[in-house]
Amino acid sequence: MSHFIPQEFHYRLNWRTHGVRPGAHASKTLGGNADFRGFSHFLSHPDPKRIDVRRSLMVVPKTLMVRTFYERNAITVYAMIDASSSMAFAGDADKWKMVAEIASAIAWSSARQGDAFGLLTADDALRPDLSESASSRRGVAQQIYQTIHSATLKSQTSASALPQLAAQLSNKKSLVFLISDFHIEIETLKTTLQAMAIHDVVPVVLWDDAEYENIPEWGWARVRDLETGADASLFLRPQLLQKMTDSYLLKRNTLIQLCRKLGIRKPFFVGKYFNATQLSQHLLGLS
Amino acid sequence: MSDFGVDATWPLFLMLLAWLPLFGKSYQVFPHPSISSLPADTLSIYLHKTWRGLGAIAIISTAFAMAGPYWGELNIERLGRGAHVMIVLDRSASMNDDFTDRPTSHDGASKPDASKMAAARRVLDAFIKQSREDLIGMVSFSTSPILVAPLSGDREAVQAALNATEAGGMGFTAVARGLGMGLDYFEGKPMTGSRVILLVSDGAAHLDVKTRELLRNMFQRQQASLYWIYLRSKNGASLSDRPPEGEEQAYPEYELHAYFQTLGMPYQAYEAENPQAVQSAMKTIARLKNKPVYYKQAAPRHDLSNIFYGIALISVLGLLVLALMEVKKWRYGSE
Repeated sequence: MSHFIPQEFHYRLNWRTHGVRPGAHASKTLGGNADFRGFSHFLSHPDPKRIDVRRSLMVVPKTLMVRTFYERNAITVYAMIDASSSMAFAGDADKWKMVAEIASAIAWSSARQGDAFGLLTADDALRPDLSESASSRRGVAQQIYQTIHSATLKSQTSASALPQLAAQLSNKKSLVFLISDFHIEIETLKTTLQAMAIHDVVPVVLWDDAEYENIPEWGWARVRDLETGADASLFLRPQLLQKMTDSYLLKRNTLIQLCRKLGIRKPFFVGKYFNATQLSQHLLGLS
Repeated sequence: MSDFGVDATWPLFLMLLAWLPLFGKSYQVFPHPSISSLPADTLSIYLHKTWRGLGAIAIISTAFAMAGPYWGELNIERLGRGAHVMIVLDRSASMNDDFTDRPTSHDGASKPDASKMAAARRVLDAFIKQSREDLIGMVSFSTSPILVAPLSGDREAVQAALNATEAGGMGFTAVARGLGMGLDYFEGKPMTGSRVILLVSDGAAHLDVKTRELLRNMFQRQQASLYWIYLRSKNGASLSDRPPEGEEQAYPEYELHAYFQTLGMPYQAYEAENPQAVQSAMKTIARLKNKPVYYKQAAPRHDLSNIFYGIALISVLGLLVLALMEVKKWRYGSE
């Protein structure tokens, strides 16, 4: 599987990082020659290469001025995974396999952009076996794909340890992809998102069409909740299907509202399959 | 009047299996990540409850049907006109004799069936045929009484019994035991009409004091009236003729007649000297006893298991409909 190449997407930050490692993102670190910062006295930045003659002639009293720049730095990208039982749902696509795919794509893409990658997983407790401390180690994408793919989810667990997971993140502002189906209690979700307030969070919502849409129009079905084990009876008919779609639409809107309120990026909804190009567009604000 | 019962109790324990459909969870379910995201649908909830209920009903009614429930022996009350008549027929040897007033044919020879027994049989046969609504039983007696037919509306049995008396009579006349046995058949039966003991005999026997007292008690307890058709023999004494003073012991018929009058219950004696007289006596009795009678007829008990099997079948059919309605594949258009 070492030759497996995950999908690659691109991301751009709208904030300046505080990093020290050189990378691809705008930072607040002085130096380099990428992003123009402003002018400074030659004596405070004694770099003859950066002397700006025009500016030196303009200033009063005349003195030597140099241009200063911001460095480009690397950030840490995290994939934060909700490993609750509901993630085992396989409708049009196997959610957990999709998690592996997305997580490895994040790891791969972050490596391609020179960023460090960390993986954090939790269900009702932290899952150290499915976690990876932040590093720029090569081959991590393929490795975590394997690990996640072969991991089993515990039955009837929710994602109550997600807020604790937020504390495991770096104390520097990082890009965090929160991969979940967001079938989480709203309070847990709020706590989690608030705990990650200093980070740039991208919610990646895995909603399969088979949860609410791509189901038979007529018939009687009983469903069992993967997390709680509770049963529900559904007499499927166009009216109920409409209600289900409406219910999910409402949930979707609630989620978007919550993210907007907490100053988090707009959630990225994944349905049948994960498309890196769509994620790129979403992250670049084009979608 | 009617009581409910079951043949076997062990299948009732199978009813406990109704717990399975009521609370069991082993039915086909589709996994879903979050049912709280799904809308609550009342119709669906009731459908599920109906499914559970039908399962339980099917099991309970099958178990109950297996137990074999029934409505107890039902007694239907019927209104009859007539009496409860217990015929006490004398079959002593003397019954084979002729009447005093012997009917003769043209050539002067006696008819072969002119015996008292034949006449009595003929008349009783007509009486039985005619009294459609009477309950009739029969006891015959000679030396000791024999139950011929118990008190019932089954006329054919009595008729057959009567035909069986064609064999010649024998032995003595044990009137008291015959009457006692006849009276015994009233015992325990509901008093829904007048009770009649129809004694057909040609003679009598001497009853001792103890027997007399016993019979009197029985008559009074059973509230039975007595009709005596006295088939008088050629040389027999008439009941109305008072025997000479001091010779009462020689005339047991008169003595019995006198005793019957002291029973405290309605009593009537018909002295028949020829077949015609017997016939007219029977007619009188038939007329006298045409009062309405209530009696109960036992109907066979009703087996209720079919009803419960029916209920189970309906429930199972309902379950079948629900099962056919069930979605086999969750995803629309999946393989």
